[in-house]
Amino acid sequence: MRGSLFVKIYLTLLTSLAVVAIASAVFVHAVQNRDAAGWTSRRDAFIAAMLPVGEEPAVLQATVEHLSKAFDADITVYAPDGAILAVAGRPVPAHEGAGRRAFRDDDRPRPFVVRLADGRVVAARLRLPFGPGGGRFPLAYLALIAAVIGVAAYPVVRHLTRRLEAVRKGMERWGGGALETRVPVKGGDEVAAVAASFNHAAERVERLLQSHRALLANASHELRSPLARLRMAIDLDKGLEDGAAREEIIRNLAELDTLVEEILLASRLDHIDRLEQVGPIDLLAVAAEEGARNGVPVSGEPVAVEGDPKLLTRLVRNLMQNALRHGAPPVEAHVGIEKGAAVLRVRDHGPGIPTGAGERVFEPFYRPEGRSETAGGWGLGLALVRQIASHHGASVRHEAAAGGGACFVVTFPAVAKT
Amino acid sequence: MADQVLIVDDDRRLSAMLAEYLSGNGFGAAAVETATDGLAEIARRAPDAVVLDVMLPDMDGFEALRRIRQSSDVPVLMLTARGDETDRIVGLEIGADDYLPKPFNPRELLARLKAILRRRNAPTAAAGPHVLRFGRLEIDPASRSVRIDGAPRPLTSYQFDLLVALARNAGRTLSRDQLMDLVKGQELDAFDRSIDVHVSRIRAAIEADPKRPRRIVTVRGVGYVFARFQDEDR
Repeated sequence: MRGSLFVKIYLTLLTSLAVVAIASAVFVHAVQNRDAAGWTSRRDAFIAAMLPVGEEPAVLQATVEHLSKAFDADITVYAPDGAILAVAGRPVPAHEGAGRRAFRDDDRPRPFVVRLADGRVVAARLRLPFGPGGGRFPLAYLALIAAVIGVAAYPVVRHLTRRLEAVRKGMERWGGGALETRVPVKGGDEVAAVAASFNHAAERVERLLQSHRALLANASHELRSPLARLRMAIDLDKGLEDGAAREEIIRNLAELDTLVEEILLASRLDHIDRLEQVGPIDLLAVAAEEGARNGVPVSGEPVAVEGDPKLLTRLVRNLMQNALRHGAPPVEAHVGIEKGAAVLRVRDHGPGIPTGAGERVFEPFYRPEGRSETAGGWGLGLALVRQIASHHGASVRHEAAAGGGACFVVTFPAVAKT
Repeated sequence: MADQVLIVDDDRRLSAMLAEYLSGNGFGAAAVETATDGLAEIARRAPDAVVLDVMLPDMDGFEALRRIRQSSDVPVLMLTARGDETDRIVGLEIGADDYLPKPFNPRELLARLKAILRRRNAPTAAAGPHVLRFGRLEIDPASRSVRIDGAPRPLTSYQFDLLVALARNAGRTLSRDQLMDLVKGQELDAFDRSIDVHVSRIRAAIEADPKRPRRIVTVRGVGYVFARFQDEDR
C-alpha cells in the first residue's frame, strides 16, 4: 500500500505516546492516593487534638473560629445526636461521603467529615486543597502533551516519508527506461544516503549502457567497412569472372552483413522498452511481401496488428528463411484470426524441430545436438523473432505440423478485422 | 564531358576503389574524407553528383546533407548502414535523391547514380512532393507518368489509375472489389478477371521479373498488395 510506511511510523508514535500517558496516569494515581491518605489521617488527628473532649461550648466556638481562620475553611461541629455545637463560616452538612468529591477536578470547596472519638462530628469545607499536589488530576496535562506531540509529529513523519516516496518515484522512472533520471539528495540522513547511493548506481548503469550501445554501433560500422571494401574489390578484380566462386564470396559477405545487422538489432531491442514507430499494420500484406521475396506462398485473410512495419517484416522474413534453411520445401505461410487473435503460421515440410529442443530453438546461436560444426547453428534468426514478438505483446511457439515438418505460430493480441 | 562524382567518405580505401570503379565506368571521380571538405568541394567545383556516407568523422551525414541543400541541389546518393537506427527513409525526406546500404553492390551503385543523374537532367522529371517514389520506381500523378530509374514506362489510363490506387495503399491487402471501387469513374469492363489482366500488364511494365513479382504481390484468395519495401538483392 502506498504511504503505508508513513501510517506505520505515525501509528507507532501515537501508540507509544498513549502507552506513556497511561503508564504515567497509573503511576501518578497510585502515588497521589497514598499521599492523600497520609495527609488526611494527619489532618483528622490534628482536628481531634484541637477539639478536646468536654470543652466548654464557648471555648469550642473560639477554637473552631481560630481553625476556620487559619485554614480559610467553613467548619461545623455536630454533637453525636446531630445537634450543632459550633459553627464557623457557612454551615457544612455532616453527610458522610461528601469527601469522595475531593478529587473532583473543579474549583468548588471540598467538604469533608471527621468523626471524633467521643462521637462528635466535624464537617469542614476547605477553600483550597489540603496537602501538596492534591490539585487537578494530571491526566489532563498528559493528554494535552500527547495531543500536541501527536499533531506536531504529523508533518515531521509526513516529510520523512514524502522524501522516501520521491526517491521511490525516481527509481521507478529510471527503471521504466528514463535512465537520465536522478533523485533529489536533501539533507544528510539515511534517506539522503539512499538517494545518493541510487544516483551513483544509476549513473554507473547509464554509463555502461551508453558505452555498450556505442561499442555495438561502432563495432557494426567497423565490421561493415571491410565488408564494403571486400564487396567493392570483387567487382574491381578483373581476374574474378562471374561464376560460382564469385557468387559464393558474395553470398558469404551477405551472410556476414546479415549477422552484423542482426546482432545490432538484437542489442537494440534489448535496450528499448517501447517501440517507436507503431501503427496498424496489415499482417497479411507484410507476409505477402516477404513471401514474394522468399518464394513462399501466403494465404489467409487481412488482419491488422499494432506494430512497427520494419520489425514485423523482419519477423516474417526470419521465420520464412529459417524454414527454408533448416526445414524443407514447400514452405507455406498463413495469416488468420483464431479466437479473436491474429495468428501467423509458417510451416515447412522438413524433419521438424528435434524432440526435446523445446524453447531452446529460440536461444541465440542454438545448435541441435549432433549437428556438425559446418552445418552451423541457427544464428540469431529465431531469437530475434521471439524478441520482436514480445515487443509486440505477441507470443511465439512451434508445433509439429500434421504430415511432418515444423510449424512456427506467432499469436498477436486481439485484433480487428480490416 | 564525363559526369563528375564527388565521394564523401572517411574510408579512404573504399573511396579509392569506388573512384577507380566509377572512372572505369565513364565517370570522373574525386574523393574527400570529411563533410567540411565535401562542402567546400561542392562549392568550388560543383560536381554533377555526390556519394555521401552517413557516418563522417566531423559531422553526421544527415547534417552534412542539410548543409549541402542550403546552397546546392546537386543529386546526392547516401550510403547508409543497414539496420542502423537512422532510417533509410529519413535520407529521402531531408532531400537525398537515393540511398544505398553498405556494403553495396558496385553495379547497383552505378545504376542508381545513372538513374538520379538521368532524373536530374530530364526536364519533365520535376520531382514534386506529390510524386510517389518507391526505390527506383516513380509514379507522378500530375503528369500521369511512371518511371523506373527515370526511364518512362508507358501504361494505359486505367492501368495507371490502378497502379496509383495500389501504391497509395502500399502495405495493405486490397481485394479486387476494393480496387475496382478505388478506380471508379473508369467504368471499363469491370469483370473480376480484368483486374488480373491489368495487373499483369502493370507488372510487365514495372517489375524487374514480371514472372516473380515483388512490387505488386498476389495474395491468393484475397487480392493484391503493393509492397512498401523492396530490398534490392545483392
